[in-house]
Amino acid sequence: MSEAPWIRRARRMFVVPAFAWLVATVALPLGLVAAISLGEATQAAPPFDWALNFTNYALVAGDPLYVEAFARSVRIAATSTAICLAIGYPMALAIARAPRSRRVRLLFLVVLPCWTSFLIRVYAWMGLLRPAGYINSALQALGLIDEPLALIANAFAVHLGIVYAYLPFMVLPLYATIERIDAALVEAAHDLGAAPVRAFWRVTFPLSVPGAIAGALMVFIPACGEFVIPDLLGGPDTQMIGRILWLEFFQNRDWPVACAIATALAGILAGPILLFDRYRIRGT
Amino acid sequence: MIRIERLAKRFGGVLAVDGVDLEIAQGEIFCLLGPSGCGKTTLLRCIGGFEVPDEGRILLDGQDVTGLAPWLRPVNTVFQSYALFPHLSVAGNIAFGLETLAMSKADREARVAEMIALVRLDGLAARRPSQLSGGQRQRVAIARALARHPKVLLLDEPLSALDAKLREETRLELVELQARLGISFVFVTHDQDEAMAISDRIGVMQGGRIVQVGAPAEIYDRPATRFVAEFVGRINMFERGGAWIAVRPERVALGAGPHSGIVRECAFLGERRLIFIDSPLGRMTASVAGSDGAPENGATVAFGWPADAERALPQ
Repeated sequence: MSEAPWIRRARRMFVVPAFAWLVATVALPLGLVAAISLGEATQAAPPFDWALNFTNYALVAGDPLYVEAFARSVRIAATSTAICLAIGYPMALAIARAPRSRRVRLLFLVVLPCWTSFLIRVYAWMGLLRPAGYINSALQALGLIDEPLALIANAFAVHLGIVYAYLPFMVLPLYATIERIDAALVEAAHDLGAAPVRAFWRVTFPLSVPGAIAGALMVFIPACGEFVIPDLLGGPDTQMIGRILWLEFFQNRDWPVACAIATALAGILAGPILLFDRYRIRGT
Repeated sequence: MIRIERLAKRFGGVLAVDGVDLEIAQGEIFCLLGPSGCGKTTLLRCIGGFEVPDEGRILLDGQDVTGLAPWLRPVNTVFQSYALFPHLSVAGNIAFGLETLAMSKADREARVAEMIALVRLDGLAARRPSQLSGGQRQRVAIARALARHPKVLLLDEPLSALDAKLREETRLELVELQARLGISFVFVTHDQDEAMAISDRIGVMQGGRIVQVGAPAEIYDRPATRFVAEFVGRINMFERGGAWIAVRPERVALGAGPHSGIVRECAFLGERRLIFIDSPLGRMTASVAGSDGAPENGATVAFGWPADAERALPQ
């Protein structure tokens, strides 16, 4: 059975603008970045010549500075994602199991911090964590410590900042998935001899995995490219690839190398997305 | 088998179950029948352990299970929407309840195979619920609930999601299944035809109370209240000398009798034909064999019924 022509026309009416938008805002800029990554740096404006060589990629792959920054970014992002999952899952579960009237209020509290500028919230953490910040001053005033604790300019602060900033992006998709699980399924598990812990691991948890994966991607992907948090809360040993990219672009004015880093990052991040897509297709 | 004593359950200020006393025997099909909101599902959920009653007791085989968690009760439920686990196969769904029992893997597999054969789902063991028809899903739900060999099977409107034809076939299969297993089935429905067709006994519920318990024929022929008379089957009801008199339409004979009225409409139902008559007693319905001819609309007809067809009911 083929579609009526008017349905095809109507579909085109909706699909074409969306497609055009994706081309203009995603495909074109990404293509441009990829094209520049094959060019050569010069002293001009803009500071590159079009070319077709892969020397920039060879440079990035061969220099431990870049490779380590990539590895560190993936490591920090992965650890932060795991922590977000560990904190976010119980939160999402508790909200989904709360009385209906209270769920909206609890969700509101999760999203509330996002109403303030991201940058201001990171600065607020600096104020809290600095050697002369609120936490150290309070602990010293209480006589609990003599010397300020090293709370900032280290991996701890970077993880804390990323977990703090991205936690809502873990909680929301998880909540949406758990909330949609039919309560009768849990009752059926109880009916069939499964006490609450067992019912959770055999029914609720497996059915919430797609939400956990969606949440993990929403944390992991931006965290990999994170620039502000490691810059403001991190130290010299927590430089992530976003910071290196910034240096290449604005300080060294080496656009082709910066673009090669950006393209490589996009390639690395495409991996988990494609995996998720395959999982979803298999899952249905 | 099941003994329910003065059971009451409140939701907020509303009494959903209001002082129910009930005994269900070993090996019978007992049906809780009533309109939506009458408390029949809440009562079933109390037996299953999903609701904790505010008052009263539930005894199973003499054991007080009132406060016992559902996973510790020797009863299993066929849920209204079946509640099959979407991430597990048919075999996985059926095996779920066996995982917490002390059984060897081989015994478990044998039990699953036995259940699959019992509900005639052979060849579908590896399918996911989403790949099954409505009737097949219902069979999985029954097999899953029976796999643990419960003493009582609870069924919450198990046929309501099936289409009319399949529903009638499935009714018969449920009765056969129950006869083979010999365990008690407690069935909740709002469909009086269904209740009449499969039950050994029916408990009619209204406003959280059981208003009458009896065999289907008893409920039909000797309804205890006006509500039961009107809820179970069609009935003619009129007032005479301060009492309500009920007469079933199939007992009304046309052509002769002490009453007369004007034919308003005839409805042909196949086997039966319903004839609606306006008379001094009110709107009366007569049910005659479908093969009998229909009187013309507007015609005046005489009608009557044998004396034993009348039943006087309290208000």
